[in-house]
Order: sequence, then C-alpha cells, then structure tokens
Amino acid sequence: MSEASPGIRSHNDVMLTDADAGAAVSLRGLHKTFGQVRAVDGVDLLIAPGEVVALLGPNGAGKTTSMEMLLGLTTPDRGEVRLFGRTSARATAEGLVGAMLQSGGFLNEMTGREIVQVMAAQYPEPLRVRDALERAGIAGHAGLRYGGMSGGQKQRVRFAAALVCDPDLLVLDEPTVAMDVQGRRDFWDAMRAYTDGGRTVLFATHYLAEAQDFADRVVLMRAGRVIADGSVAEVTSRVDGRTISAAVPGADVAKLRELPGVGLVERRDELVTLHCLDSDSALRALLSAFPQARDVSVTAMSLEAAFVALTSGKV
Amino acid sequence: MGALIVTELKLLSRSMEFLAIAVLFPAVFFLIMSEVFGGLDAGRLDMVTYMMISMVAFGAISGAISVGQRVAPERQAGWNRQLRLTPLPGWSYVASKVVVSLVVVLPAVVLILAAGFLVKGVRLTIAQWVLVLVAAWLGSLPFGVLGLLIGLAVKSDAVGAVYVAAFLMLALFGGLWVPVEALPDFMVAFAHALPSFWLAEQARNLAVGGVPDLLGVLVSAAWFLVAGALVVMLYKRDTARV
Repeated sequence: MSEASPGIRSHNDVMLTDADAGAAVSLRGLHKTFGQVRAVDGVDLLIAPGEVVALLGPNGAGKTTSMEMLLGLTTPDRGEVRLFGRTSARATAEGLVGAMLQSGGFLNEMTGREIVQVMAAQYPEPLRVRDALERAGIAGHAGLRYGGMSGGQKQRVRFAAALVCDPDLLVLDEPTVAMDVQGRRDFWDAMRAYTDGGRTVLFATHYLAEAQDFADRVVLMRAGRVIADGSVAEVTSRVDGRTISAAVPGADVAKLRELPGVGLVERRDELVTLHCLDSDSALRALLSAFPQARDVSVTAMSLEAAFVALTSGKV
Repeated sequence: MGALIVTELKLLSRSMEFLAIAVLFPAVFFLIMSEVFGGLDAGRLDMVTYMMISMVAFGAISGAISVGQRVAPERQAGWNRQLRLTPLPGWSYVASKVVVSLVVVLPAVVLILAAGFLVKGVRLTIAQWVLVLVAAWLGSLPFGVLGLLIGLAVKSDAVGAVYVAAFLMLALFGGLWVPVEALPDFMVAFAHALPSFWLAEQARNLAVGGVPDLLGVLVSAAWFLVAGALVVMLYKRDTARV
C-alpha cells in the first residue's frame, strides 16, 4: 500500500532522515482556541505515506479545525504542521495536497466542468479535467450548473476538484455527507481506485462503518483531543462498550471526563452516565475520586452503540 | 490567473442584470442628465463635455467597484477558501479581479464617450478622445481594488450598504455631481485626496489639451497600492468560517 506503483507520479522523493519529515502528515502539539472554546487541545498525529486514516468524532471534537490547520487555512496557536516534510503552504504550492472541505464551496453559476477547469489551471501538473470528472463519477453531469445539482452531485464535483491536482495527500471532511447509499458506495469505490496508487488519505466521518470498511487506521477525537488511535481492530478492542451509571453528589463533569478509561460523560442532576473505553479502570478511578458515589451499575452495550455514544453524542 | 479571469468574465457575460447596470446605465444616465443641465455654464469646458467626463468617471467607478464587491457572495459560497487550497498566490487573485474590472469598465466608458459624440455632438480631437478614455480607464484601477477591500472586509449582509455609501461619498466629495469649484475650501482640499476627483480632473485636463497632474497620479497610485496591500493581507487572513 505504501509503495507507489510504477508510472504514478510521486512528489515524495526527497530523502529525509527525521521520522516527521518522512511522514505524509506530521502534527505536533497543535492547539487552537476560538474565544473561550478550546477547539483543538494538543493534537499529535503522524501519518505515513500510503496510509488511509479515518478521523472519527462528534461535532465539535476538533476534526475540522485540525484539518484546517493541517491545510494552512487556520494558524495554530501553538504546535507545528508538516506535510511531506514541508510547510502546508509549500506542499500546497507543489500540488501535493487536494482537499474537500465542508466550508469550501463553488459558485452556483458555474458548471461542474468549469469548476474543475479553474481548479486544474492553478496547479503545475494537473490531471486532465475529463479524467478527474470521470474518476469522481460526475462526467455525465459536468455540464450542469453547480447551483442546480443535487447534494450528491455537488459532493462529486468537489471530489473531482480535490482530485484534479493529482495529489499525494487527500484531505476530506465528511465527504459522503448528503449522499445516498448508492452514492456513498460509488464514492468509496472511486476512492479505493485512487488509494491503490499508494496515495495518502485523511478523512473525517461520522460513520463507523465507513471507517471500518475503508480506513487502515482510525483516530478517535473528542473535545479537541485524540482519545484513541490505531487500526480499526485495535480501536474497537479498546472500546469495551460498557457504561457506568451512578449517583454522584457534587459531580464535576470536567473532572469525570479526566478519569482514566472514560470516554463520554452525561449528567442529569446527580445521575451520571460514563461511556467507557475501559470500564474497569474507570470504575476504580470513579470510586476513589468520588467516594460519595452510590447506586453504581455497569452495563454492556453493543460496539456500534458504544461508538455512537463516543463519537456522535453530545460532549 | 488567466483561467480565473476567463471564468469570471464568462460568468459576468451570463448576467444581463450586471451588464445592464455596470455598462449601460452610466451612458443612459449621462444622456438624461445632459438633457436637463446641458445649458449651464461650466467654466473652461462646456457643460455637456463637463458632464460627459463626470459620467465617465461615475461609470468607471461604479463598474470597477461592482466587480470588486462581487467577492462578498464568493466568500459566502466558500469559493475563496477553495482557492486558498490551491497554489494561487494572493496577489494573483487580486490581479485577476483588477483585470476583470478593467475589462468591464472599458465598454462602459466607451459607450458614454460614443453617446457624447453621436448624440450630444461633443467634439474633441482624436488624441483628446483617446487620452480621456485612457485616463478614465487607468483612473478606475483604485476602485476595483476598493471594491475588493469592501467585499473582503465587511460582513456579507452589510456589503451592499457599505458599497453604496462608499460609492456615493467618493462621487459626491470627488465633485462628480457638484463641480468642485462650487464646494467650500475645506472640501476642495478633501477632494484633492480622493481618486474619484482625480479620475475626472485628469480627464478634464486632457480634454482641454492639458497634461496629467502629477499629484493626481500619485494620489491614485497611493490608493491603489494601499488598498491592494490590504486586500492581499485580508485574502490571506480570511479564514473565518463564513
């Protein structure tokens, strides 16, 4: 997977000894605060060339902000970003990075083809516009005005626009949002064809199934931090899918969240529910930190339910 | 950059409303105004020629600013962020907008001059016609950039209002409606600091066989450069999710 097949252009031909410099993506100690909100609170992430990484997390987990800092659209308060050993600006200028952002968009008056043409014109060695449209599965509707397209068609145009620079790294923020089941399947087929060439992909999603089917590796984010990082099997094994419920007088949600093994915390008056990555550690820590806790119960839930709780619940 | 210019011109050519207002409207306005006020005395120039040049300035300014302020809906759509993901440098983005504003301004100005010649019987030498055209055309440069500045600096729901206010102030204080000679002294001094005044003044100088005023060139260039620098800065820093 990490070897570029013959004939595929690779920009990553600079020999670098430093592990960070050799990585496709290297994020070190990223922090970003918007007003009172710590959107990203210390994110470290190394992605090797050829890896396909899913970024999972609820809304507000810091996925989008992390991606925007990675792409150089947002300046981190602290921390460092390197893409293929370069600054994001440099990597972008060399056409190494293609991205599909939620906040990015196109003019309604332009046709799909015109959009991809304009994008292609900005890069040193783009794909042919027709090829990009075909790979994204929108060639048949490329003459439509963007404003008149369905949500799924728009997403494909955006995908074609991200692909047209023939990037070594693709960054996709919820690429299949607004697509139906068939559209989603087609999208991931197109993506698979693309990554078979050894390209690196980082995508954010709400869907565990997409991460399971498509990613080599899953990075789980919550409240601006990475709370789990590994292969799909490793991460799912770390989520034990148990929930601890207890009455905790004077419970402090922030403190509860800091307990080892705790993923997500919900509270209603005294009653708290802890969705756990490791319920054994969490229970020990809960009882020693909050000796006044009572009516404690531990219940199991399905893996899917646990992921839903961890990744799409309110924080 | 070439692709951006071509695309934008293509989009503009599909918008009849835009073309009507930016290109046609100033010429129509000139014909009506000169009919109403044409008999008055305007000093070194006859009134119709004076008004023709004022309307040329008016058309050049409104055309250039209206191209620039289109950046507001583009930002709203996320187009700027999309461009920022490409290698396109900030100055190149600004330059493409300025070129588009020049392309839009040219027919608007030519149309007014043609109306002056054909309908109102204004007579200048060929050299004077060309010089007036060039002065108006180049004089419109700061306004394309000012329009961009408004589009980038102001929240999109307020852009329309700020654009109209800026345009009216530049026209009024630049002496496009009321001759500068009729304004009180402190306003005359103020007018000399505005690119709108100089756009019309240079064209008037050239229309009577004079030469361009160096101070005017400097004032217009300063507006262009300062606004341009601010636009490049804002384009780069424009990362807020809109």
